[in-house]
Amino acid sequence: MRFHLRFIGRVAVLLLALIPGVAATTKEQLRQAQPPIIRSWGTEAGLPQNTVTAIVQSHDGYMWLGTRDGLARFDGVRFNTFGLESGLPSVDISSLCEDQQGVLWIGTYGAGLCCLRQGRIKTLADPSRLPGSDTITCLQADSAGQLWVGTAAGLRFCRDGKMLDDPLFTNLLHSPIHSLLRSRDGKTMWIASVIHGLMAATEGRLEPCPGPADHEKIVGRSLFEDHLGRLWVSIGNGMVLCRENGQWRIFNEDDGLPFAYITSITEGADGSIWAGSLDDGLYRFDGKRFQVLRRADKLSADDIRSLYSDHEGNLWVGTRTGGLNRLSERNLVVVAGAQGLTNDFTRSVAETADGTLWVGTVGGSVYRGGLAGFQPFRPDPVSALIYYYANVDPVLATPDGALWWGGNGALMHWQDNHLAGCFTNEAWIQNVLVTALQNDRRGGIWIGTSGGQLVHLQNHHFTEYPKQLARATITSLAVQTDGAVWIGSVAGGVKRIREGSDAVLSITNGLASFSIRTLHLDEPGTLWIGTAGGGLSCWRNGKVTSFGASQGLTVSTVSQIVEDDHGFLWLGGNSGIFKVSKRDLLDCAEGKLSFVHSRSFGINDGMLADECSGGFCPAGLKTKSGLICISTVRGLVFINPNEQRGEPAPPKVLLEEMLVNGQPQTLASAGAARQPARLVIAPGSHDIELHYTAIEFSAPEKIGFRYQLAGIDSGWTEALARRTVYYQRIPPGEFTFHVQACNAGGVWSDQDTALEITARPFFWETSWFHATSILAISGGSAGILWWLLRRRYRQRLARLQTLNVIERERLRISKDMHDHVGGVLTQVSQLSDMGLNETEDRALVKNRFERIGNRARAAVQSLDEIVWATNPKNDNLASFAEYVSRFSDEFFEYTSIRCWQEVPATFPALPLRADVRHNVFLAVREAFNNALKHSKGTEVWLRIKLDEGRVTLEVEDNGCGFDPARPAAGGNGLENMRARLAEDGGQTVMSSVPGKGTRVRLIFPVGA
Amino acid sequence: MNKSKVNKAIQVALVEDDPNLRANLTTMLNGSSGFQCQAAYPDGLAALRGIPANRPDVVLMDINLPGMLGTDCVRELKELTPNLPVLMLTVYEDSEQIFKSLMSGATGYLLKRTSKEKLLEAIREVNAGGAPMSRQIARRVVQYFQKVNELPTDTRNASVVVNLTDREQEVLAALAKGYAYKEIADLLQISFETVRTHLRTIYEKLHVHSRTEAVLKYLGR
Repeated sequence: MRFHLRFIGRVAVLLLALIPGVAATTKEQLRQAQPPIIRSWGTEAGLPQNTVTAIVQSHDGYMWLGTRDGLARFDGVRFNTFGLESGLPSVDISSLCEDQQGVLWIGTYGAGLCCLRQGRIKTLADPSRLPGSDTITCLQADSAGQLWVGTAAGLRFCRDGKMLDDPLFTNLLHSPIHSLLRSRDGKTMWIASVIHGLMAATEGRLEPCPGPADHEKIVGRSLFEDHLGRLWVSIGNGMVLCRENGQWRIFNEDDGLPFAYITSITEGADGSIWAGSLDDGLYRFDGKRFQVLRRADKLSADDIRSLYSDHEGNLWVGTRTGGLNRLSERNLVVVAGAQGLTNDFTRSVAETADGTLWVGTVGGSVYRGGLAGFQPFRPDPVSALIYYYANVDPVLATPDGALWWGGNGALMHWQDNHLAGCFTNEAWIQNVLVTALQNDRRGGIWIGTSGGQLVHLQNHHFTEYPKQLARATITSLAVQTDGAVWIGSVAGGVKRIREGSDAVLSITNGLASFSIRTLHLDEPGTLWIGTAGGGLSCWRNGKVTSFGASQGLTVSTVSQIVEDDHGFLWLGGNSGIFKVSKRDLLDCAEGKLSFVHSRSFGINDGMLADECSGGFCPAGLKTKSGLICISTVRGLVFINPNEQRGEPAPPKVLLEEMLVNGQPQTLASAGAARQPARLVIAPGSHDIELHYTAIEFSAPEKIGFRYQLAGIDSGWTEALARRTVYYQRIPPGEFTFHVQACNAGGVWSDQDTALEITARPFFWETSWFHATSILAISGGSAGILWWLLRRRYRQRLARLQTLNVIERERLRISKDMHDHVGGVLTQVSQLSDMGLNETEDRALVKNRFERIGNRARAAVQSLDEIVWATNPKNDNLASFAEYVSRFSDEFFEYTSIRCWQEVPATFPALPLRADVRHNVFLAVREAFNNALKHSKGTEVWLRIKLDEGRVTLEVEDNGCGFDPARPAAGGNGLENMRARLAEDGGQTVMSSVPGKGTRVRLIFPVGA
Repeated sequence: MNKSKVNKAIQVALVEDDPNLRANLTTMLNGSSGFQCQAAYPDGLAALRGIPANRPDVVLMDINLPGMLGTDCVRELKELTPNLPVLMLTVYEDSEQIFKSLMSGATGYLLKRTSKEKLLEAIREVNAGGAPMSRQIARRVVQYFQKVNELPTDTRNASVVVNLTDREQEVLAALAKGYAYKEIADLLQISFETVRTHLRTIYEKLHVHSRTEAVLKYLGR
């Protein structure tokens, strides 16, 4: 039986092929039906300028574009531009070439050659300084790692980063070069020179290559060798030469070429030759003739400057005025306004036995036609019934050759070229639209209306079903082989009835949306349900399974479901057409798969709109010739399911840019090795911003990304099309950032792009404590300080007269350093050791940190004092007064004692000897200490007065005082104070009344 | 992405050449609720480029910057964004430098070893329109204006020389003695806010003088 059906099918195809206007399924015929898909980018999309003089794809997949206003790198979505600020010697780019090491060579008009290597642009000086030698015309890298540089002056070479002449090519040193081409076998370099014509350099030999008769000297504009080894040379207006097996063939205007010279030649993925003309469009050689593509065919401009065929089979076209174009193979054909569907919001489509397609439209009634084009179908007497006929949603072709269409309050029946019926009087059809039609196996027709009415027509008799079956518009009907009917409506889910039975099966459980758009019943009896907003569901063995984004199906509204012969469902939705394997869906329903892969088709594939129409039945069909036909809001879309390539492999992700706190970072290691890149971040709080991309040019916007920062994120974050990620406040530690891409079909790359991020901790951020580092830092600063002090100290030596004083000063400084700074640093190191050993008790660790902090602050303060004491600039009264006053502020700051100061705003800058001021200062400190530790007072007064060359400094408190006759515990310090000051000719007067406070008065001379 | 949640935090810009200190201060600010280190600049030129555009609430600036000194940077910055409060950071209390930067338009200074709490408090204060002044600085200000008073009259007439009002002098004197703002307000029977206004005005007057060539010349700065 199956064989029989197939046989009939084959015969039908053969027959159909003979009928004009019927779909032909070969790729070439589809291509002829419509030109390739063209997409354009200009300055508005981020291209630096609309003249694209050179195009090259680098090994990592980026397209590089040379313009007259800079260089651009393109990943399909974003243009990254390079200008003078990036190091280019000129923004006027003439040519691009990537060598085997991955270095991008950039030729400019008038500023010589430069190269982009590991993100840096370097200009190469040309020592020859010949006029024109800095205008680069073309670049080719040879197999020996040498760069051939064509210039307006002549042929030059670049080897090991140096511009050179080659003695072998002295002839060509002064002949402008138009083009260079490395042969496919790598042995020959073709050189198009202006003076000497076309030359071939093969293994150290340079030979002229004469052209055919009348064109012996070939002044080639552009050169290309195709995969068959044919050499193509454009030689002037309307002339292209092709050399095959040593024989030249001339193409000219008779072969379809324009009277404009060809600026660039390349080969498409299918082996066809493409030639871009100076100002008259793009030409494709199909083996016989050159066929033109112009602006009328959606090319952005007719002035072609550069062509490039990328790794994916796209053709890139750079123009003079229209920026960049991408031509990609058409996987589908759209039949719309241009093909006669003047109302291109197509609804239902039906195919009659003769292969004619019938399309219902709202407003434009029915169109009749096929792939080749459509015409409105308005024969008499139908045209007279235009009120009923204008708005047609469903069109149904029945096996008896009849055509049924539902209109505005009417159902029409067309058979044998005449209107067999027009039903307008029935009660159920008043004021409603017929929205769904379906035939059953017994010659009956099921009818659904916008009023939610279900009607069965059999033998000219209408049977109405209770309205409760569907409370709103019936959108879809499906009839089982046993005659049971499934009804889908915009509210209330799916219901099934049987004739002669009152039992109704209602499906709502498990549906993600109760608004049904379409139903498809397959041969084993699985019901596929397309919903509005809830994706696809299937009903099988009494169980509903829904498929949504988490199962990999990104289409949320499914309006049409068509099944092909290969086990795939084609889903028409609001966001395009999706192809998905039924097997996968069923496996997913059974839990064997967690994810289904789909392949999507949309605007990128040449559709005029992504949205497929829906809400009526029948919706979408498989033509008798095997094409999938989906009605969209902009025309009918035909896809040949037999011709579909597999999905492109998911692209690998490239990390483009890394910013830490907004500052661009360079990678710690990004060698050729396959190790992940590393980013090392200095201690501190850091926000990280990473830019990544994946290069795939056929549907770049449909690439999805996911990422995770292992160590912080618990799983993948789905980034969809977003190509940037921010992490705020990265804590110290080692993390690995992983990012992956998926293609339009939702297939994730198994290649993972990783970036190792090391956020260095501050020493206090480590759980174990870097005792050594803190000591090193302390030691280092102490060392520097010591050096500084020593320098100052030396200066002071010269000024100090008495050896005794020098000696004392030296001793004092070293003692201070030892006692204060050294003591404190010792404590710091001890505390850090203790912190190091303390791993459990966080509170204790915290306490240690606090103490380290306090001790370190104290150390800085001590250093401050030493610095102040040793700085000769401070050897005056004003400075001293200020220092003491400041010291007292700091001293009492966090104590319970309030310090008042009675210090005049100004003091004359009287000189004060360093040892004197130091001794006085120590005495003051001692007095402060006593006040703080022993007086139990609440207030302290600091008074400084100058009186006839003598300074009186008073420290008074309101504490308990002491009996001068019985000095208290701090007495020893006061005695020292007294002795020190006496040496400098000063005196210390201490007075105290028990209970009334203490007053220390220091009197010393100044200006001496 | 989550920047909106910290909208109410005080946006602090940091100008500090020592990368370690810079990182520390940034961490400290970002780790304190209500504060956000908006940007950290390694030198004066970078700060002058970035700060006017980014409009922080408060600037912390190291006095000893390489290249352009912090004091010069403040002056330039005040020309561009006159109302932006700048706090100077210094390792040692070099009163000369500190006063110079106050003349240039800074609204206070902080020692780098200052505890975190005090630092944050000072930032909060200047952000709220306060003008913190230590008593040493108060004394310096008095001293300075005494010098200004001694200017030859022609110089004074020729330039915009502003003197302190009696009230301002009273505020400074009380401050120098050791009274807190609140006590000064009680003492002088004025509001707390008025004390702050006086201090702001005093800073502003200093700043005006720093722009007056003749005054600077006379004072030998």
